[in-house]
Amino acid sequence: MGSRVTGLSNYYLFQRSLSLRNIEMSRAAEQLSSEKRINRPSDDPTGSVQVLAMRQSIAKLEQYDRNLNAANQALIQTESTLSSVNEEVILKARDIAIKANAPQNKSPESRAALAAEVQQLQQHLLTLSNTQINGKYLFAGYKTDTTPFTLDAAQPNADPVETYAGDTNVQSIQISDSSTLVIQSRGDQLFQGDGTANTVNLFQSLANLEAAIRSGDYSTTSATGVPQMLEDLNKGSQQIINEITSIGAKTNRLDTAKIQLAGQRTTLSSFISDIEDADMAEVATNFSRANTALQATLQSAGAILNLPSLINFIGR
Amino acid sequence: MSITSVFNRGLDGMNVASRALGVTSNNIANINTKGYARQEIQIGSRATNSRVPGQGGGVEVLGVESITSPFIEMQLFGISNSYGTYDSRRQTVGQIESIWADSQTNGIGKSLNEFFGSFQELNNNPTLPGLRETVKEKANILTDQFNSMSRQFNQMRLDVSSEISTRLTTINSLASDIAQLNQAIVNGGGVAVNGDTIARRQDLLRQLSEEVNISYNQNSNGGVEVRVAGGASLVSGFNAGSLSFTDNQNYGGTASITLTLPGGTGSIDVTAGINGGRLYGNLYDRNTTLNNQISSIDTLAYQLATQFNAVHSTGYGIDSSTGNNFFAALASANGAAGSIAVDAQIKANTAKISIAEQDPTVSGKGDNRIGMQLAALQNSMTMSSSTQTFAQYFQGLVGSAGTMSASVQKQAATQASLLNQVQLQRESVSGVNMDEEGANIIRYQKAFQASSKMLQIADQLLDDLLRI
Repeated sequence: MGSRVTGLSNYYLFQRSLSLRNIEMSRAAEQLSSEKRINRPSDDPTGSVQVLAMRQSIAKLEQYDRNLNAANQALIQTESTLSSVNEEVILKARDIAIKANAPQNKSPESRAALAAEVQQLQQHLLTLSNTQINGKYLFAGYKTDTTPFTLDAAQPNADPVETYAGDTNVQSIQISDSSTLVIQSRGDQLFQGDGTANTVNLFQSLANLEAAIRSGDYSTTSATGVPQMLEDLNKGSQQIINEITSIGAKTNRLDTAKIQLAGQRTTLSSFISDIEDADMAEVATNFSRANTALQATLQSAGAILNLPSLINFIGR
Repeated sequence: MSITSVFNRGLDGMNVASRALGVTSNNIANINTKGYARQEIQIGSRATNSRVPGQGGGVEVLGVESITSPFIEMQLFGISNSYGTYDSRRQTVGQIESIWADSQTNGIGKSLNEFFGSFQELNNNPTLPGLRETVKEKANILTDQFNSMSRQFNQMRLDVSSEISTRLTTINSLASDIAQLNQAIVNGGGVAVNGDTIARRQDLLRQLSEEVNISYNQNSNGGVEVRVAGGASLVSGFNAGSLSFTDNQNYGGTASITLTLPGGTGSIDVTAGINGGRLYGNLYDRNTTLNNQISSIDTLAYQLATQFNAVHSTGYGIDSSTGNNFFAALASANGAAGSIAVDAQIKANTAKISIAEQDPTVSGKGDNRIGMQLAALQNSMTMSSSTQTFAQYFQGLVGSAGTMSASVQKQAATQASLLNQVQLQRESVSGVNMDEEGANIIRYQKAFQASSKMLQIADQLLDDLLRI
């Protein structure tokens, strides 16, 4: 403008530049202390919405991680119970069946002793099939508070030998936004078979074995003879091992999912920090530059506003 | 040439010099007066009435002129108006932003996650009664936060209304001051002799323009006619009109502004015509911004409660009850954030939290199929015509509050800097410079001294004459 400089124009000039410098300073100080570039949504609306979405994803991932832990716990308990069923019941019953087939054990006394052992195994099977974890039955479906299996008092001759009071549903757990994982095994199918030729009712098989040993039925052609029962037990063992294998596959999947979750969390956290973290070197530089600018403005304001005017020299 | 004329010329000179010193001292006195326009004395030689050729008629004061640039005054007038709008919105919008930002980190955003998380925990362990209590507590926290956010926005609406009310008082008193100055100028002899008063009135017009959009024109007698809100008369002659407002505090209700015409000759609703100044900023935030915030958060609360209930009521509680609402049923989205609450039955008995698809005495206490559906609502496209999840909708609101705040702040900064530029320009034309005034003091003091010397000389001449 090449203009006149008047008293108020200096005032307006310095008032504005001091207020701008002060804003710069407080912004720089805020970033310096929070170490963040975004301190409120308006600092970068797009960036802050991205950060909000990622934070929410992380919170969900943390919940899924807790879900995975719960699923893992349930699956491990089921697996170890089923291993016991296989090793402590079925394989032992097979051994007894093989022993019973041996000529030296075919005396009535031996048979009675072996049959009693089978009965013990059936009791053990009952205990295992009614396993409770934290007061909940593992193999009862949704009816976690109902004892799933009871043996008929009149067994071994009753038909059916046992009754199942659980249900045919299985609980699942959410392990990601879109997928769930079944964490229960169906008690009825595991212990009673699913009705197909490759599966057997374990309680019934043990009852049949006991009856066959007691009656000394060793005929290879008899449907209720010891040799046929041995065959059934092999199927039963396979039936349990199949489920153990499927649980093993699930725990593998859980492990993979856990690693993925951890990876996703790390990635998201680093994205968040890319978006909202301040470059500290830059912020520190900005701060000292703002500080210098403020000092300079103050000094020049002080100097200029204090300049003497002609008035100072009037009147001798 | 007569000796008396030497007397008279000396007197003229002293007279003019002392008037000039008066103007200078007035300028110096007003050096820090905002809106003051420096004055200059206009001096002219008086036409001679003497028959003696070459003899001057002396000197006289022609007038005192206020130095202003109409162009710069108009710019200042216009920029003050848009500056006023953004400056008044800055605070409100900043406050809205911080409410949303807070609610993301410590409020609804966080609680929404925790609420859904608590359902997943319950799904993992459907038979643990403690987890039902956790669900209830998380839901209570969430609804409390909706309630508090709704309260904050409604309180802000009241606050802005009371700001509008204060602002109307300011506007009315400016209008009546301008009317009084009109009277002073017109009765005091018009434009030519009232430079001071006109500069003051100009500053009041600028202040008024910062408050609300006005236009004005000056009559030949020196009075100004002021029109507000696109044409309605606010100041006419010596009369000022006044603005008043009606505040509809009902849901979605708006505030409206009524102008009582100067002289009480009727009244008009001018709300639609107000499109500038601080009043417009306040009115916009009151009627649009805040009502939008309230209805956005209400929509979220309503959809959450309604959609959650729709699934929950199909389920069964552990006490075999069914058809239970989880949140107290909401009649409409209006005010939903303020009234959302956990259903009283659930509050009294968490066994009614229904996560089973069938009666648990039939399907078993481990039945969590409805619970799974409820937890899945977290990731369902439940909002904005099935395009957003609850959380995404909420994040969108936080984001748009941020965008709005960023844009208003940027505008306010731009307008402030423009205003500053024009103020500097105005100062350079109309401001008082101490050195200039110092020089004037010296100039007129010397002139006064010289003129008084002339009187002294004339006195001696007369003495000499009488002594003859």
